[in-house]
Amino acid sequence: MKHKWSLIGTALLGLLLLSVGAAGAEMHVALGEDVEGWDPATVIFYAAGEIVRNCYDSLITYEILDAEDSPAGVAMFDESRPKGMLAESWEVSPDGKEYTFYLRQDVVFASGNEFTSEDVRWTVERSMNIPGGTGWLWDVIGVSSMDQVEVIDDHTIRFVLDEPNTLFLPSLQLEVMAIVDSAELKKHVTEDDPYAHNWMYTNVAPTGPFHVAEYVPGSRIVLEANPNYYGGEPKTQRVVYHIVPSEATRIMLLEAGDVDVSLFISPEEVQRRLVDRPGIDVVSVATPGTEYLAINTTLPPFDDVLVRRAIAHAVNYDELMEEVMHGFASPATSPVPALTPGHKDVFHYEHDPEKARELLEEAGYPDGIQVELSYRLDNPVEEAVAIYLQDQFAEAGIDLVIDRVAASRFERIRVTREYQMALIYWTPYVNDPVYQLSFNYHSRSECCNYGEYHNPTVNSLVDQATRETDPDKQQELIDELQEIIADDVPIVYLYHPDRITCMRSEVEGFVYNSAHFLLYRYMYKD
Amino acid sequence: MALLYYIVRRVLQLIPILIGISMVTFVMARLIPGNPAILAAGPLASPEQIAQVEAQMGLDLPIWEQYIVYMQDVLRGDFGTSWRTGLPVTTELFSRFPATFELITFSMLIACLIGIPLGAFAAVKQGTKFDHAIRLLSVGGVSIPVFWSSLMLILVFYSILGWSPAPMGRLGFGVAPPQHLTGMYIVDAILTLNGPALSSALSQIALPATALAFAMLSPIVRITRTSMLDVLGEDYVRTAVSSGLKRKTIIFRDALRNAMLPVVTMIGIQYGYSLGGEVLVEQIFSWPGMGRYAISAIFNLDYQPVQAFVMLVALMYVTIYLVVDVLYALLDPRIRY
Repeated sequence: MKHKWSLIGTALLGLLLLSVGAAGAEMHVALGEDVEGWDPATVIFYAAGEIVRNCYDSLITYEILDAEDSPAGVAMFDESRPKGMLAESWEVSPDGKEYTFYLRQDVVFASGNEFTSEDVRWTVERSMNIPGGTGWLWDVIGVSSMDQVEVIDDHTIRFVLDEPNTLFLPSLQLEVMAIVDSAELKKHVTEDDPYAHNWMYTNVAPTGPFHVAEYVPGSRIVLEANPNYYGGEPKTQRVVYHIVPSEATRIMLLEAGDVDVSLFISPEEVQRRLVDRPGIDVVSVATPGTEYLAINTTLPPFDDVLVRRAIAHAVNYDELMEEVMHGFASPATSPVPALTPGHKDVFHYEHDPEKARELLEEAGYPDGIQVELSYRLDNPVEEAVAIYLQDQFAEAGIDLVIDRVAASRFERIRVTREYQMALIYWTPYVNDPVYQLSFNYHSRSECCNYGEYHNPTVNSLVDQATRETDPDKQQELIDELQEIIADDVPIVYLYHPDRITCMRSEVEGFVYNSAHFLLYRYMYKD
Repeated sequence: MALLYYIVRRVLQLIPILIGISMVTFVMARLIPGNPAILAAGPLASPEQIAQVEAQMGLDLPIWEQYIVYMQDVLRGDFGTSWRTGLPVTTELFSRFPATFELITFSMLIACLIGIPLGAFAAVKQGTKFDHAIRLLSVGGVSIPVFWSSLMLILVFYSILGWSPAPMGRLGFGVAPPQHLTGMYIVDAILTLNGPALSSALSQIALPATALAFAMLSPIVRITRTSMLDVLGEDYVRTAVSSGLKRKTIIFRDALRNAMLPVVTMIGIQYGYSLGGEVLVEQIFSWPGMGRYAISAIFNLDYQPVQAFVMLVALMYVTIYLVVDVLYALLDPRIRY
């Protein structure tokens, strides 16, 4: 009896699929965790960010570098060449303070509403004012009040910055700057919620190629092509995210071909099970993200730069990249990552336990020191790093005590800096040297100055570099900053982890971007 | 009538129990180190922005005031909103509880249907090779971790043999869920005579239920066997045997029924325990159940779901014990309340 039902079921399913269209137009993705709300103004987690990137368009985006021309061997965003997306073109005033955007006139939202400059203005206002929103980013890029946003006409909008800011333009392509449908959202506002944040948590109001067609919490999210999309129909008509919390299950699903992409597979499992498997492509791309060993420079003995240098010499970088990352990593040699413009190779602390001992002796610790390392216990890669570091440090006379911290407490101490040393993965939203330096090394950066590093010279150089519009002069400042910071070692750069994506071989059109999101407007199945 | 009075009294006792639990959970959740406002504000937020989010979440009030606000909402049937998903907790638990309930009930049924006869059989055949074989099986059930048996089942029946559908939740992709009556797909599909949904739901639940049933099996087998041995040694059984009654009649009509009391207790305990969510099985089979939801809420300091979850599980526990007590009275006419 059961067999008969299955047959009928299969037949019905087949009919359903036929009516939807060719199976190739559908992409199935295994996602590791439940998806949090996807209001562009507050996205924090990966999956929500990817949904925003695929549904919404921003004012600008980047040109795509073909696989043949790309240093990584895969197609990727060329971050040196911004291009218009919802903005057809833009102008910058000679003093570098005024940006005027001329918007496309043929764009309608998924709701059918026409896209105008009022939508851009309202998006900015909204993201500035939602608690937990991206107000901080607007401050960083020099637009701290709405007076600086002028609507010129229906399709022209101008931003007037306090002073020239090199981070302004690159920030506009971020998912947190996705333009929302103001007319549609205003239908869902309430007294307590003037920006329809609650509604936007589980709904979308985009201009982009997809919209959210179905959401079953804990099970799946279905994106469907937006029929009103100005950029034409994407080759992939539907993207189905399946929430599959177990890594082992995600691997088996990919192997069986029931999903086309499996996200979040650890380097170890990729190496062991997927790299050589026929029918599966493993795309591994070097990224500007960095695994940090942050040292709290305000606490003794770490307030002594000799101790910090000893720690940097005690790390066996090659061993971490081989044993923990299984080769899916590249060396980190500067506070500005190798893939970020302006990088200079300055961090010369090769693995040398003897040198580390000498430095400790010089600092007045001939018998070595005991230090504590904190990390998030739900991060298996960092756990492995900590265990390897314990052995490596022992060789240099440093007794490393491991402090495994629950996610919720870790996120707190990450802000309050209640740690001696911590493992923190950092990936810049904007792949820009000034962004990187001002977030990680400027005293003002309350969120992310992980070394609790307060160096007045560095602060003033970063401020100068933020304002400097002459690229050569700016580069000089950035070079100097890299030297000073590498010398001071508030943070030890362990390595740059690669971004690994595991897909079926039929999947084409992968375009790497430094936010790591998969962009289904380009991807399709052959 | 006395039984009815007893049930009403027990249900009324629930009220102080739930209030007590709500207080304990409320305080305990806030004792977990960390601050959800920091998580909600995102990794790059400044202290002022964090304070703003804190105020919005109501976390800046003194804890007793927070509790009063919370209880006022609860009395109106509003268990709050999860800060992570932005969805009301009541809605999420309503969709996730049936998923867990269906899986656990299905597994428990399998475990009982196999475990009770096996245990009784082992007792009757005490000391024989059957007894030993059954012991080996039940020791296996206890000692093999459920995540391992789950992965092995997937590997064999999905990856290698290809008999089982993809372990992605409660229904195959593209199968429309049956009309919502109880939220349990199998029950709903039967009630609405929805063949495709029933077949898909059954084939999806088969592997996780087998894995869970295997783990639940051994205590049931062991306790049935022990209890059955006790009963078989009783005078009245000997009397029955000597008065020439059929062996089958003695075992099934007299002995097994009397041996059931401890078994029912054991099933009740295990059932209550499992309803808290079999997190590992839910993880591995992508089952959208309560356990997963609660665990990720705890990790993210998402207070509202945690509180509602603990209250719901407490409610289930108390209900199950009540059912067990009532079953006692039905099974053993000497017990009166």
